[in-house]
Amino acid sequence: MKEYSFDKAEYSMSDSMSEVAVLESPKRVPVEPGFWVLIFGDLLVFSVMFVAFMLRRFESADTQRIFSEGAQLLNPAIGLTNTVVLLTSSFFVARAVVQVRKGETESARKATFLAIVCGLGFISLKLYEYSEKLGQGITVTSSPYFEYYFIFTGIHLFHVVIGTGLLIYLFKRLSTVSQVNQDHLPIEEGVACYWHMVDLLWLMLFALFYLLA
Amino acid sequence: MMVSVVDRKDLNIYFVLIIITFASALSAESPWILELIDKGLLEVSLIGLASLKILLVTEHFMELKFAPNWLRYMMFSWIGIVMVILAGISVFFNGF
Repeated sequence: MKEYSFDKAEYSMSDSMSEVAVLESPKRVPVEPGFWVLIFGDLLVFSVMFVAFMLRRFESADTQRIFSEGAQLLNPAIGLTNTVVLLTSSFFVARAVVQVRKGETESARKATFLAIVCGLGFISLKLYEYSEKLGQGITVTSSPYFEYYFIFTGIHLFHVVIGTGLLIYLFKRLSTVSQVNQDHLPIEEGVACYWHMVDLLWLMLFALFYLLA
Repeated sequence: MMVSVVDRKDLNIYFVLIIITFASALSAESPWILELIDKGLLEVSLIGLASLKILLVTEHFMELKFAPNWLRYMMFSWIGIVMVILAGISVFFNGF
């Protein structure tokens, strides 16, 4: 069994203490090494999607125009809000991991709850955006741009739904214990890494769909 | 309640991410910016800023700064390769 050892007393020392010193081992793989196969696999799939989007966009002068027109039809306020919401959720998830390490059950629970709220907020906004487009008569077959838009953001939304479900599971786990311990850390870190992966994928999707075209 | 060193740094990183996000959005939405810089340069900049945000999330929120070098370099490589390819496509077709 992997040992995650840390000195709780050292964690509350003054600002002069370095971040690295809060963990007994200065170099450690956050979460099980095998989990990174899943993360890099997902990153690889999405990178192929990003490249495919860019190549399709510049296929011809016509597609450049179609992609530009398509991007104009998106709601930039929703895209921006979703980006802020997801970044905020990542912050809360990172906070939750820190609180679990410190053994601060209540703080970890609160941070996880706030991350869940952000996740549900993202899902709601995305579904609203989809309904807005459908209401305007824009579907996946409307143009090559919206084909990519609905498929790529739909796959990402699926990841967000899974991530939010995992966060809810973590919240329930934290709610049933009076005091977190080291046993909680592996799954907390695993879910956190997954959530941050979902966040960073959105950062590129936001740039490609809402900013570039 | 004292905020630990790690907590304060995470908060600072969060604010930097938000600022970069708004700066990118404003750049993309402001038509006057194309009078100042080339479209290709703007696109490369936006891709670069997105990659920078990804780097900050992986280093600080994912805590890869505490990870073994092999894992950090794998993540840096992914970010770098994706950024170069996307920027390269943009430069090739937009010019610079």
